[in-house]
Amino acid sequence: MVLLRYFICVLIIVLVPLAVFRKKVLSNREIVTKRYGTNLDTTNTMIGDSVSEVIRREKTIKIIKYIVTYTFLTAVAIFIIAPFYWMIITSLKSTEEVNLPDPTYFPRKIIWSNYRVAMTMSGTYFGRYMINTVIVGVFSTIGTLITTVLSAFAFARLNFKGRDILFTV
Amino acid sequence: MDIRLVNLTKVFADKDSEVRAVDNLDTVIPSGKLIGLLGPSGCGKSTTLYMIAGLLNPTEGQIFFGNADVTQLPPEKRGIGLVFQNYALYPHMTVKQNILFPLQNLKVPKAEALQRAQKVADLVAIGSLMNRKPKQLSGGQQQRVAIARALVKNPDVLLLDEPLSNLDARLRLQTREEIKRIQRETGITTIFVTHDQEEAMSISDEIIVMKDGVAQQKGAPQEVYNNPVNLFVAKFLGTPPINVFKGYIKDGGVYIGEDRILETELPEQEVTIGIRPEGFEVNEDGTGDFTFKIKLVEYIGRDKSVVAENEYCESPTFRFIVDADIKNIVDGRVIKAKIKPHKCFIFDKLTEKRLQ
Amino acid sequence: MEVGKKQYKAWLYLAPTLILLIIFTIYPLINTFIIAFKENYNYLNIGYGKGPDSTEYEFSSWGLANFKAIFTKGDFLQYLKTTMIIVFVSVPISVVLSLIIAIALNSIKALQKFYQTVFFMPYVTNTIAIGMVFSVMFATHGGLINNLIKVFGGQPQNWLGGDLMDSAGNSLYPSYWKSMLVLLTYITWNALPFKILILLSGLQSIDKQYYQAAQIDGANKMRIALRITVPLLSPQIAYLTITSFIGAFKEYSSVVAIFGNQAGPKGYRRQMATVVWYVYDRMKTSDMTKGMGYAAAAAVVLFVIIMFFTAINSWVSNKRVHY
Repeated sequence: MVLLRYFICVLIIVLVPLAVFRKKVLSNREIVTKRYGTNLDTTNTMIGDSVSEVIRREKTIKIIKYIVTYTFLTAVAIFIIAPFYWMIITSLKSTEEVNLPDPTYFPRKIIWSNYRVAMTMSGTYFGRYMINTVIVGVFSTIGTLITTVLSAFAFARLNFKGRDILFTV
Repeated sequence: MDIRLVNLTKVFADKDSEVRAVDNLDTVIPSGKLIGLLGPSGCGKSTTLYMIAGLLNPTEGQIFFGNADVTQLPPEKRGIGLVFQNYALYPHMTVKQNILFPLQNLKVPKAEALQRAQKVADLVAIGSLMNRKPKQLSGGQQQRVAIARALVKNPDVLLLDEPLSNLDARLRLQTREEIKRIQRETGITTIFVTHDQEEAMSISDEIIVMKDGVAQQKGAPQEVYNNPVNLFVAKFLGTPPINVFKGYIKDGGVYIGEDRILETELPEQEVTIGIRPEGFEVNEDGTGDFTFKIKLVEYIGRDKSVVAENEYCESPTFRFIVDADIKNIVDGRVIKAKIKPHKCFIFDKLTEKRLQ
Repeated sequence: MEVGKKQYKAWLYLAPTLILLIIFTIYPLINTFIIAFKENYNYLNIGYGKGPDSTEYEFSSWGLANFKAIFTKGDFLQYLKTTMIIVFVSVPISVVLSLIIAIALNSIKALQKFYQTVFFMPYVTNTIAIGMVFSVMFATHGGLINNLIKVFGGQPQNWLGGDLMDSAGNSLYPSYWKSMLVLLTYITWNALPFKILILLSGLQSIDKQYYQAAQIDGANKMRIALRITVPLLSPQIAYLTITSFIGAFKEYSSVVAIFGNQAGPKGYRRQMATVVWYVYDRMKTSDMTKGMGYAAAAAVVLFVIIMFFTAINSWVSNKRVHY
């Protein structure tokens, strides 16, 4: 099925670099021990001119690690931001542009009035909604704070019968 | 394998200030010896140790292991063992796993690894505790595990960061003997860091005294004790500490106040004088060169520890030690004593360098 | 006397929480259990007591009819299956992914705060709102995802279900699994920030000396991550796993956000529904005898399942978590 194919592709994209990377690191150690005949006893201590080679190799590995890490984090960031970005640019597109069969990645013409229309459309009591939201938010926060702080104080500082049982509940 | 530090410098800088933790340290640490890095807090000894370990990068200078410049080499490739001040034992692993960890990283085959782990565990006398977790061990035991973990990979260098600071007094004596014994048996070049001069003097083959990032003096403990190169070194070593007086040189003699205590060839100048507690020759009649008033006599068994006053002393009182058999040493008496010349050090008043 | 006074004061401090707890948690909990065993429950007739049939009375008899009904009739088992898929796929993936992200985040210095802020954004959003954005993004015609697929030369898919056709008139087949993929992606997207936050703070509280010791011991980055970092993070990982499991079993708003109130497009109603969706659905039904009773029974079943898996999770945590 189509989905399975996608899944397998993703797996390959993830696993192959891992395998390659692991192989590279392993061969590092093998090269070093074979070529310089270090006794595995003393870790990978290199004496002599091989030290500079190891240093150079370490530096490249470090750079590669940085690149991989930043690429990964950027990819995740794109995944996280995508809905927000889409939401914002869609909100600035005209209705025709939104309904295009092939979506545009940046509005051709920025329609600021969308916001005004959304908030003042007949039947939309946006002000009421905002007030409701604020009331709910503020009061529930205050209420939570009061109850939790009082309870926390009681559990932490005061010794009373049934303290442990009540805490479990 | 000896270790050479060439022009080693570490500067910690932030936006407004700069701290030279280690300043142009130049020294050779001979192979197979137990070296103590000694100094007060903040003198750069731990910083130096961490640079040798590779956990800190020097700002300037180089570090050589034998003939190899390892300055840029990452710690895991340097072949060292490090015992942290807080031991840093992995809390989620048993003692055996802690000791095996370095060997696993080296891909040592399992059978051989277990054998070596057991051997080194027996060397530090924790062979019977292999299946415990670190939090089930006492401080001394934890430290021995840390030492075992550092030694199990047969490093060329063993580094110890203040190994005895976290132990109680009794354990300290025991452990420092252990460290000396282990170093003797394995022959590994060992460097340890401490601020306790007694500790350093008792077990080191050589000590390096540091202050504010600069090495003050290097040598065998007794040598450094008997021949301090400046006032700081003289003050730092010795218990009870050296007694410091203001004095001057005139007419070929060293004077403290009116008392001519020593002959010298130095030119006339004001000097700082340090006299070791054991440098006072007191007899019953109270004759001698140096005058002082006895404030308090502490009888400590074999010796008498006497607290005395002299107006030229840099602290309100000074202390010296005499044989308990000498009579007539009582509170309140004003007596004189002779000064042993080899226990008296003359320092330049400004530079504090040793003149004689 | 002193002790007595202290006791009195403690209960006073606890009073507000206790009152709220009893009214809104304990009483409903107990009542739900009781209702589940009332056959033919009709909540409009509360107080009329037990009776031979339920239309005039609150319920007909004590028994297991509600439970039998949900397991034999209707699609409850289907909803259970959907819920299980959500739990056993999204929780491991989100925990592992957030662990990797947190470790990566911890290892960089430049831009760390920037990435942290970005990753935390989903937490401050409303599930329904962003769910609708997702449904727009995954729309079959004109959606972002299908457009990207086209750009890379692939075949656009019918992600959200419903009978649709592409521009050439070929039918685009909807599929339970494609919709499930969208749902799981959204749930994961929502689940990452909190986990990243907890794991990152856990990571930052690990003493640097362990890493230094591991470095000296010759461990490379991978070994350090697996043998040192993860075990030291096991308390946080265990906490996240347990709470995520429980939360995933109760998933409801994501489904409604993406697929609408009916949990599916026309012709495919209730395709993506979960157990909690079923409970709400039963509560809205007009046929009283098939309403609250079934909902209560479903809720009890869910409760038992969650308890079971929480017990397993706790047992595993005990064995493998190092404090």
